[in-house]
Amino acid sequence: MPISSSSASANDQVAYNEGLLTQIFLHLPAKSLIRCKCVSKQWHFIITSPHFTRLRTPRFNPARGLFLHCSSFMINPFHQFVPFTLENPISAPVHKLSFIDDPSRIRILQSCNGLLLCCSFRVPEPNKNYYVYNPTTQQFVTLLRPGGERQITKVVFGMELAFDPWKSPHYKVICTRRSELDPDHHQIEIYSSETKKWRVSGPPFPARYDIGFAYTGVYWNSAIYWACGATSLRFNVEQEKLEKFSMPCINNEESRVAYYGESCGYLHLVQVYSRQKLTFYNIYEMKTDGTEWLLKYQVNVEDVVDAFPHMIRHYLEPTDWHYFAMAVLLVVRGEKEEDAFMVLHIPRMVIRYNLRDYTFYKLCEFGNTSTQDDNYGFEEEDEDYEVPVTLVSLELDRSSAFQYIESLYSL
Amino acid sequence: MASTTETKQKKMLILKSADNDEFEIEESVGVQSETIKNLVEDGFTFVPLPNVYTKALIKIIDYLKKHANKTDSNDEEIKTFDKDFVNTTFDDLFELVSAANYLHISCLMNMLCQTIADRIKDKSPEAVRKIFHINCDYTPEEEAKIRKANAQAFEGQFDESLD
Repeated sequence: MPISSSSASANDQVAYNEGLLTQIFLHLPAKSLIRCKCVSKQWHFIITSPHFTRLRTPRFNPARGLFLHCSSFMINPFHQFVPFTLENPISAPVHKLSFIDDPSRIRILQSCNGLLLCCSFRVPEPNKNYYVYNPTTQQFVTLLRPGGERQITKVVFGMELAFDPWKSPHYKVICTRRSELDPDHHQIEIYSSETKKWRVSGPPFPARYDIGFAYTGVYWNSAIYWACGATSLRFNVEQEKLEKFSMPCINNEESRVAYYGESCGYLHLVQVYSRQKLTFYNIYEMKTDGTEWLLKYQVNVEDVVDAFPHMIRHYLEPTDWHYFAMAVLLVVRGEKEEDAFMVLHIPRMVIRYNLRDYTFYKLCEFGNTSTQDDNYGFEEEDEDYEVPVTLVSLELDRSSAFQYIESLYSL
Repeated sequence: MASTTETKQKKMLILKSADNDEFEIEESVGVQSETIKNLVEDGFTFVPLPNVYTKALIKIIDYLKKHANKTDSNDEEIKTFDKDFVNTTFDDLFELVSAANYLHISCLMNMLCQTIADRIKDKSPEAVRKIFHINCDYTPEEEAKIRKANAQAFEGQFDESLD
């Protein structure tokens, strides 16, 4: 028996009450919410509103997996999804990165707080399309070309996405291109999702050919970071200002940057200690004000080498930087200290390495068996494709691994 | 002497439901509701609740009494009580959630919203509509378009039951 005869009106009070629905919706997982958009126009409106998206964005929203871009001159490119937990792994948010029928296929350029910046793959610049894509909601937009109709911007060096749902409901795209005034200068142009327009930002600056603007930019704390030796650059997106920033221990010529990237509001940099100690990693975190690097973790991944000796390149000197075929793909932080881990890549495998207790385990293995696993892998078009197994070579590097962060942000 | 008897005597409140039933409860029980607390702080001891019907109010008073006596030792007992409390029909849950919302009882709101969300999360949009008594205002074409745009979320089987 119902509690009261007024149930019908109580139903109305809930079913059409925006405040109450919002509170219920906040407890629903993303996939259920996406389905609920289908219930009615009002429900669709609430779920896609910037207000709800903001409420739904957790303060700590660590990556749940990685999109790995696998390609070489031998193979057609495809993206593989690797979830970060073995117990209860989340399924790939998308099976194919084919949200649009781009004849040249699509490549991810950058992952930024839930959105992916993508572009046409292996297409020369003037014909290249750029997309902003949300893999959780599967919405995308095709960006206008910078430079407008004048088409002055034939040479684009890099595109970077700047999106922080906690700071603004709008995203920006920062384009670094050749200056039309002087071929030895670069020019920055900014696209804003608010105005839906590109505009030139600041004066041209002397070209930096040492920075690969294309895949290396990391957005953190309102700025795009391009780490590159002693005079690394960052572009403050709010002040539209290019600045230099220092790298840790640049006086130590024996150290090497293995990775830098962002997770949960922290900018990390992983440094290989020295040629003599190739398994020693220093993991730095940038101070909140962006002025200096603080040493956060020090780990020795010797155990990983012992467990997977196939990464050793015996044909090289043990002091060669490339003696171990190992790459850091990602450093992930969470709400709690013990949630911190590092994602390593060694030939044919992706390893999760806990930064607190130094335990590690294999997240996935490429090769004959795992790429056929429908749960994890998604390929573009070539359904029966297999990764060729070449010993002691890495299939991936930092610029081919992209965090998957759940976001309900509506494009 | 007068003051000691006054402190010993528990302060009481009278709540009046939308169907004009009156309930006497201890002030300490009632102030778990922000709405009641604000009225009490303004000196009211008689609280009319024009949005809360008697049957929901009885259940909510039960909840407030149980939670007012929360100690370390009865943690399990309260958990069992809460579990029984939400084990009811959707219509009852909606009635309770709008009452809890009006009364601003945040822990109860949280529990009810979580319960409703858990129970609809695997259901089809059709089942959700029936549960919430919502008429679909999309044309079939519009609905098909949304489904197509979010195809991934519609893969697999969904729960069509209404309980």
